[in-house]
Amino acid sequence: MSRLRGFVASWFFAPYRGSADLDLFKRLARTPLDYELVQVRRAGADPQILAIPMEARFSRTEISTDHAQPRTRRTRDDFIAGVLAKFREAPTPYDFLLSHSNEVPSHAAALECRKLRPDVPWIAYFGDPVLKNPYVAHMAEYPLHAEDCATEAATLEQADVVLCNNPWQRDLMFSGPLAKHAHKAVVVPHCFEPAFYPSAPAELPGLFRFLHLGTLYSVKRTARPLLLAVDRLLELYPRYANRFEVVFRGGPYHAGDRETWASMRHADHVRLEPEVPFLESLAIMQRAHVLVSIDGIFDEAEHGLTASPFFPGKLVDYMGAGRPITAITMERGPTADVLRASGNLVADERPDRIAFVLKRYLDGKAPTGTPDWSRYSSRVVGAEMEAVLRAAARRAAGVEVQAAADEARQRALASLIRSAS
Amino acid sequence: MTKAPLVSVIVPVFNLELYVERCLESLAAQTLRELEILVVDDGSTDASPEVLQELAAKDDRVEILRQPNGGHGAAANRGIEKARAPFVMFVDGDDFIEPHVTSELVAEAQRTEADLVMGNLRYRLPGGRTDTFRPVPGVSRVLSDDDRRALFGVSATPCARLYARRLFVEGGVRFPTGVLFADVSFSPKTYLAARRIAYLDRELYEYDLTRPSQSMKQTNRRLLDVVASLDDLLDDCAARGWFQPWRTELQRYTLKHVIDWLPKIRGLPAEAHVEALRTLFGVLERHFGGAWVGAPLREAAGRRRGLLIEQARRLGYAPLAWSWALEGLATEADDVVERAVGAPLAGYRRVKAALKRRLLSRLVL
Repeated sequence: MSRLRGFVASWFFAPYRGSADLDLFKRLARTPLDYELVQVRRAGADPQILAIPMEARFSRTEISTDHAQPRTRRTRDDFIAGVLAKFREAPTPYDFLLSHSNEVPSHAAALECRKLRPDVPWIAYFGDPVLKNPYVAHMAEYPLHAEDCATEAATLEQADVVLCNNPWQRDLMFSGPLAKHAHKAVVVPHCFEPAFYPSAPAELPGLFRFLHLGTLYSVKRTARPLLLAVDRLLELYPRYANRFEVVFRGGPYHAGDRETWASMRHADHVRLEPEVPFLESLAIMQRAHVLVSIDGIFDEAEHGLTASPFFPGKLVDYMGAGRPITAITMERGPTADVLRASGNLVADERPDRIAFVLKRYLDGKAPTGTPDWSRYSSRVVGAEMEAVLRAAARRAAGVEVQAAADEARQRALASLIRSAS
Repeated sequence: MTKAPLVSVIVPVFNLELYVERCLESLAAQTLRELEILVVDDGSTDASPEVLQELAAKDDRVEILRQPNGGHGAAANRGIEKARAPFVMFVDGDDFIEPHVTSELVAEAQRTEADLVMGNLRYRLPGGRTDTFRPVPGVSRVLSDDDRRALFGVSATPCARLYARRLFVEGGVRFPTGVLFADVSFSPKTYLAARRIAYLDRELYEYDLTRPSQSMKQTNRRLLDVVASLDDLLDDCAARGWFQPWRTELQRYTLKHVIDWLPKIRGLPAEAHVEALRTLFGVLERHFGGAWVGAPLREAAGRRRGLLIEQARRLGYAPLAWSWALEGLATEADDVVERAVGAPLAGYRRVKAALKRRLLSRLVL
């Protein structure tokens, strides 16, 4: 099969180590395709991320702009101009155009590219919904959100394929007036990259460790429910005192979480630790008894949501670590679906429920083994992504693109099983 | 089970996955071993059934009874039907008891030949604090007739009590079903059915008030289930011939609950106030006519509040709702005035802070 050549506009990408940077990189690294990629230069690159064995070939261009202030007109214009300049440089047309949010200006840049070359098939990948993102209502200031919403609507209208990472996100984004574009939607989940993890088996600490890794927010997605649950468990069952710890690795920790931690009766059971480099964080995951994911909990009355539309990238990184995973999440949504299907326990935000889940793990009454997560391995998701990009490049309809992705998944899984046996 | 049980402990459970282990561990740790532990799972939708199964596997005195969700009263009644021991006790699945409790209660019942033995509740409050609820003032004793009458003046609870099963078999005492606040009906029936009541001035029950769902939302209209529970009590008393001999006590008991419920009714949406007040006071009107107005009302509510209620009764209780609305308006007006008065002060403080920052901090060491 020929090596296709695609153009990628993605504000975030490796070697930076944010969730959105790694999301797209992990999806593409195993595809045997060539990419001309434009991204934003930022602080905190980790060259080791790009050092894994890859089938993809990336030619990256980094745009210098004020990356710390992405939500300004000027920064966006810098990025879009940089993308267009690179896009124009190509002597022959690309086989496909791929844009990735976050940030949304990646799609705005792709809209401009489309004006230049309407014949190049365009795949737009949304890491999160934009217009219906429930977090926005909780932000005191969120400049250019109206513009982002307009970009999202224009992208859904003009892109040939719209890629989502979970069906709940798809259903939310393509509801209301935008439902008419639902035929373009294709779902390919996040993935973990096995090559990122230390190959030597990790030793577990003597003290039972629950670990949360990653960023928390000032609202909704906070440490508070878990902190309250620790106190609750120890209040009801003092016999668990000094038998476990809850470790947060991330930060900076917001004032609300710090205050809750300071007011805990059993604060000595919780550690708030600073962020660590991405690859080191994966090794740290392997040294926890149970990994904890925390989602924002939204409700129908306030936010019009009956399910979470967010599939946390950290969840798949957890899968690669091979440890049991629990989550504080909504009753329905990708996290609940994935973890329940694998036999792991999930909780909503009630401290009593979370305390119960902690207790079950401490008692050895929750699954301790590692489910078969190969469906979320980059080997499988990479094959799906390749199928999506190839199908889109030959201008297949959305349903056919999804079918190609599903078929590629089945083949990749079968191949993995064969090689394992 | 090695010996015939002396006590059937009935444990109603509904969605108590985190708590029920603490409860059953406390029962397993009782120094009195001759127990029959009847756990009634009232249609739990959480992991309670799984946890109960695990706990039952560890102790053959534990029997799990499952039923579709019917409420606390229905669950307790199911346990009563199943109980076989001469004594019965209720321990809610989110509460627990200390190891000596069943032994002490049985000893007291045998010593006094009482068919109802009552103890104190230890309230477990947030932050590790505790408080004690004493249903009877004074020292441990077999209750006199006056003591028994006094029981109708205090809040009712079926907990921290040991019942002779006779009260349920011969007396036919049961909880009302399908309503919240079933205890309100149940406890007075046991006072009337019991031949002898003994009181132990000791904390015999750990009542957990820290569980979030313990505090019912004041906006929940099921608050008015108390009316159905009181109706059940008063109708049952009438059917058994207890109403006339105990009319004064039953009226006092009903009045107490109606007055206690007024602040809860106030928490309902304003548009529901008048209807809710009529429903609440309706229980008094139905069973006692106008006999509760006057001295009994003033004794229960206090002189001033009693007079207000008397006046409001003439207009279908609407004036009570109006008075709440008036107070709400007064509070809002007060807020407006306070903000207006406070604005110049806040402005002065801002200017003062700015001057301090820009001038004083540079001049003063």
